[in-house]
Amino acid sequence: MIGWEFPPKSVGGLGTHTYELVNELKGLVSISLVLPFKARVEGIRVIPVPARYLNPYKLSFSHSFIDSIRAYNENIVKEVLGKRVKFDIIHVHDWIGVEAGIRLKRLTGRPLVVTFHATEYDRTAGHPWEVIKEIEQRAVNEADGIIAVSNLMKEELIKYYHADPSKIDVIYNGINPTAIDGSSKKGLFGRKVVLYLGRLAIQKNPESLIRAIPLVLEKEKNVVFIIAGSGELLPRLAKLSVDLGVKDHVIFTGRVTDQEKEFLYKISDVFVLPSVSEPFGITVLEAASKGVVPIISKTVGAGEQVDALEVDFWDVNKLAEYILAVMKYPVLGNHVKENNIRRLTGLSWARVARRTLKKYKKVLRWK
Amino acid sequence: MEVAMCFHVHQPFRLRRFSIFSDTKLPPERAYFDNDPENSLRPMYSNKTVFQRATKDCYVPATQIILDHANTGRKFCYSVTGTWVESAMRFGPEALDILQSVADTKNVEFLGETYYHSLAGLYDDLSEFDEQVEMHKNMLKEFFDYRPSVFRNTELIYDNRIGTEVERLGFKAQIIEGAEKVLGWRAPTYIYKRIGGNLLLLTRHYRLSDDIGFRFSNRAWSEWPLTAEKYADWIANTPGDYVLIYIDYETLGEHHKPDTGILEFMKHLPDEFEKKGIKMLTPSEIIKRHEPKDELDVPFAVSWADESRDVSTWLGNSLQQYAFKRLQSLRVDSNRLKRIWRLLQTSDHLYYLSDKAGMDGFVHQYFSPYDSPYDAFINFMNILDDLKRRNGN
Repeated sequence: MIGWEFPPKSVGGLGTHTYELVNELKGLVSISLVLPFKARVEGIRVIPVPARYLNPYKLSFSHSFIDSIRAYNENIVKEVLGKRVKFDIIHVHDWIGVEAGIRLKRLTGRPLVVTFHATEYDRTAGHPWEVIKEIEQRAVNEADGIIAVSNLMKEELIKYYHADPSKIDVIYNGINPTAIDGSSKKGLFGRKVVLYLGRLAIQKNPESLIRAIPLVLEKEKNVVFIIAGSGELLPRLAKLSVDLGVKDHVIFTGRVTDQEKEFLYKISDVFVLPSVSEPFGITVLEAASKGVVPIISKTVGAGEQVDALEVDFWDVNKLAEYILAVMKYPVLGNHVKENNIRRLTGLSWARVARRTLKKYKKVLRWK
Repeated sequence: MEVAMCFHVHQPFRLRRFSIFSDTKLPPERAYFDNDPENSLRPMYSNKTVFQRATKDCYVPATQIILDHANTGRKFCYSVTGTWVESAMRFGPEALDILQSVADTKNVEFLGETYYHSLAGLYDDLSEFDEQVEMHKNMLKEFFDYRPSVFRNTELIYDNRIGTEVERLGFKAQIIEGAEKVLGWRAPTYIYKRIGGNLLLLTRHYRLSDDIGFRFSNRAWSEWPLTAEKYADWIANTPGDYVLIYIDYETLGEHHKPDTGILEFMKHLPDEFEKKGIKMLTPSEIIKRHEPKDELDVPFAVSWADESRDVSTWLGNSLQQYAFKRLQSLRVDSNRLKRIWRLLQTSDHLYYLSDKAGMDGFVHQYFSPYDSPYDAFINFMNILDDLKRRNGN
């Protein structure tokens, strides 16, 4: 398996997914995991391949970037072959290790599975970088099997990359059943809490939430908005909150640790993710598992797996209206919560692993 | 064998998008209800569009067929809600005209019910129910020159308490769903009586009704295509005193489009009935010809809706129960606001809040102009709160 980000150094769904998946899979199959840094996972052989000039947490798109990617992929192939790693199937997550996956497929004749957590179209809010687009297109063409993390993702692959629908299986992200607990007391010093947690990037569209704040405050003052995460939009969002005269109701926390994240879910009444494009959005599941009511845009894939109030990503008015509705009608939040606790109980990572294994078998049979 | 063919004719006044930020200076009629497709939740579902489409596909062509039959002495039965008549005056007067011509033949029976197609029969205090039944009576008199003696409650919702009230209001009989949980071992083809009273109960034959209502155009159905001859045969061979067929009127041309042959089916059905010696009668005529066979005890409300045939369609989840409670407890003083309150009582508004899964859920979403039950809840509550504010409480 060729991964990329990995806990504890994880920023998104891909890292969580890879970590949980290999831990559930290791009892069923033997796994060698390629990562760009050293890591220890019990029961799994980790093959660190240093990615020179590349940092999963700080990609800089300089002109040498693509050379670095190429070099990284060549190193993966060298390491895997050099160490005589045995495998029956090659599984790559997203585009970064795709070239290595394809080379290994050619050299060994083993089938290739690619999981798409997002595409370049999602990451760039519709302005894909050509080079990466080409790599993703190759991944779609060469893969013997594709895993999409939601139906939205599947449709995107068909739409943008003309993927063969029969190659794609949707396997949703999971949740750790022991983490499900909707019983915490919500609020912060008697105030209602609205939480945004994620990268402050255009794709995630946190600006919609900031713009909804004055509308919410017009009707309800007793509320605080917590913007957790960092990213290129931070200065702009901070300035916006000052310009809109709402800075006293907004807390920017910067990047948060896992413990801080847990705490924020615990105290929050509402979780907002107004992404322009979000094939899954694992934080929606995490928030829902802690009894937080998700208000998300219709373009968030997690909405296929949990109950959420859904708005168009640009509809600031409706976003504010829905936030207010959750505060005004406790019956609404409770209804969503109860549904989610019930639905999430069936969504374990063990299930994700079983489905992934089924996908492996399907691909192997077809070869 | 005798058969009563009953048609359910209803349209709600659907709401428009009303947010907590909406302009509250508009008069409530304009602020809450979608009066033109421009401000509707979804243009396809605007009151005007829906009514005009149904008028063209069903109300005019289907009623023309019934009118021709009625002119030759065939009997039919209609339940027409007050909100339908108001919609017709506004969006499709020709639909009302032709139905009035059917009434003129005197070969049709009109059933009593609540004017607003509401759930007032389930309120703690039944005075609102009484008033809406009275309003509906007045409407029938005014538009169809008819005095009803047989009752049907909204979506055939019935329990012992409703039966008692309907009897107190002077009705001779009520039509209820012929559900197994009501009938037990009894057949839906006999007349019964309310437990401890004199109100007669006619039971809808749901299987034979659904053969037309749901299955008629389903090509995967083993009996497809359903011909008038075959259908008359089934009824002729059904044991009992009568068969009561009760369907949504829009079944004829709208839910099943004309190319399914549904209108041809209705054209030929009375002749086929005649050939098989089946008499087409009104419910009032049927109750005069037979004695009740037994009493029916219905402690919990039943209806004709969904697989469960109870009131869970409108009150099945916590959002619906909350909205219903708030709606019921809103006391409105002025007549103008009372009318608005009553328009909000139309059961369709609570139907849209249902989040049932499976086939029922699919049907609910099909009829809903909202994105989701949550969206429907928030919009409805915004309006209810605004009405409360206008009323000053």
